[in-house]
Amino acid sequence: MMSGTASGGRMSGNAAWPLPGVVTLADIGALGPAISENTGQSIAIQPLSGRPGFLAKIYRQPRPAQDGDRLDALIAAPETLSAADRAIVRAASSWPVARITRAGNAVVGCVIPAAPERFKTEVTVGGVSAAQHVEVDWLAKPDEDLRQVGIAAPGPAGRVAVCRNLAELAEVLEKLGLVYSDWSYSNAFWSPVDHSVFVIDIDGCQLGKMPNVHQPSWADPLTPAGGDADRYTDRFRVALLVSRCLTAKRRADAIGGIATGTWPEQPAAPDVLLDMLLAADRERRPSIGQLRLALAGGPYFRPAPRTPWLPAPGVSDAVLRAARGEGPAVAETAGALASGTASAPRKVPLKPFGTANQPSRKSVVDLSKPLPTLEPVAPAPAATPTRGARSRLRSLALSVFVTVLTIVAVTLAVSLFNALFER
Amino acid sequence: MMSVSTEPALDLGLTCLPTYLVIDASSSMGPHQGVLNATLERVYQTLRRSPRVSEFAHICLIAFSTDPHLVIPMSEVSQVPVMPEIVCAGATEYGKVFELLRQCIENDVTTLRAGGWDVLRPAVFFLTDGAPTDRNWKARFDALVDPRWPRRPHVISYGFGGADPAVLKQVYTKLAFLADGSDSEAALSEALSSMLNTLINSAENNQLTLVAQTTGFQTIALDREYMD
Repeated sequence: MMSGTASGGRMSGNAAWPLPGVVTLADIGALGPAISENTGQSIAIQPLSGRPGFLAKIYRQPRPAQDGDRLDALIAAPETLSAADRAIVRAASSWPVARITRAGNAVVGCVIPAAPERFKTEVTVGGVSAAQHVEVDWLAKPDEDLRQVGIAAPGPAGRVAVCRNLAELAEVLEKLGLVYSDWSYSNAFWSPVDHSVFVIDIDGCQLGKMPNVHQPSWADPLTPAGGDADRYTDRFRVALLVSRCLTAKRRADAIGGIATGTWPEQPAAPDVLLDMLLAADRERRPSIGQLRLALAGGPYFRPAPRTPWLPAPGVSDAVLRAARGEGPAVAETAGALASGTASAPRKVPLKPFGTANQPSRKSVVDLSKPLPTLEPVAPAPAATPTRGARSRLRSLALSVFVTVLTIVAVTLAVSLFNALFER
Repeated sequence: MMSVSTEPALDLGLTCLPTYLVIDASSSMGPHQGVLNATLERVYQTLRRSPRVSEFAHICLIAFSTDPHLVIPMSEVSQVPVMPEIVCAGATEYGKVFELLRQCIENDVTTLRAGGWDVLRPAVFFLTDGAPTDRNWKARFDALVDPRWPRRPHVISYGFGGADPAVLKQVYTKLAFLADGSDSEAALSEALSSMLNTLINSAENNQLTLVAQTTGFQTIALDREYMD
């Protein structure tokens, strides 16, 4: 859970924010020309002229002091994380580093890190090239469409890498109990070079729940519009975003693409995604941590009995039934069903570890419980070169000694035999 | 009394806003032709670089003078390889363009719906720099925005140059902007920028969200009305 208070010294990529966690517009100095105006909750986003790498995000309307408490806790939250998780939020998000306030403690904005340059790429349209941030929006398009505008196509492996990085950041939010709600195409950049991601608008996150903004093509069927979005809403939307980016499909056919697609290196990912998208009980949607694990090639331990699914638009019952039984190996079955050569889905046991025919000897991990901290294992003493040489020398000397002794003994025996024989 | 249960349903249909960009290409626009084409190219570039805006705001470009011309039929911008240049000439006939608009809307909404889109009430951005040279245009405009026609569009008008305020007042339904006449080229660029901001905001909200720059970037979200 999130706790803590805002203070200075937070990092943004390689640059540290040198001022306190609460500043005024006067404190942050001159602002450069707006890089974005009138979008989302902000009236403008402007670079800090004297502090490269940081932006001032000015809200449309000043917010009450209570919202400042939320923002302060958010700003301080990374300090409560493990070093690994902290590194993720610093590298992969515009996590706010300071609240901008004015007289009366009203919140007028926040300071956020700028997206690093690697998230910009030359995009060519109609012969005109210009560098622009590449939103994950582009990943929900086929590779060919990206090539047409000069964006390096990620291919299946690149898409998985982007989605895994996205899930890593979302998992940290989930660990902190934060709800993001607005997972969509426009709130994350990705790098066509190294497939890293950068999630923006983190400053809007709230603890536990927040108003659910209705977005027609992102609507969670089990979270009422006008109600609150919570962790389960986030699970649905992250799964939808990941499904669209993995399949390069923007409509409901993304679900069909997940059901019938194969990801040999991530065999559990389709099952996790389908359960996140279609679970009839929203509280049985697998966690984002589970998704991250599956995208990293890890296992999925589905709760039993299997989560009932909602009907999926655009996906035939036959394909879904096959997906239920086959999980990631459904493609062949779906094809066979289409051609009428299959009778019933073939059950394939989940093989989270090891190879297809070699059951793992590893113990099963209960992912619903925190994993124990790994204790460092004392290294086994390695044989030193000196000790090896001595040992070999000793063996050699012994062998020589035994050989000489044998020769002497044989010589003596022969001499004795000859002497006796001559007599 | 029988109760009706409503099962939760996964609805991931995509919404689109049929957007009609209607440009006055009469001879009086000749002096501003360069700015007009440059600004249209900027609109195209911006839309084309954002897949979600391009997908949401399907575009139809109609240029009109003595006759209306369908320059770009209703398309997703990503399917438009290049923005054509407009060479201005002719008179300023409003009536025919309003009639063509009504025909296009009727056909386009049907086509988009058949393609699986959830279609919002169309938006017409009408840019003109002068008074109409035909007489009976008003009846055709009234037919275009007739409340009894379910597919009637929202009309947002921009008047610059010699546009007659009395005329402009009659050719909008939601917003009308009138430049002060001091700098027609700047006003033209501003008008298209305003339209662009409207489309970007609308894509963000999945509904027509007007940007009224005259009131300091105030945005006005209209009801989300889907077309049958």
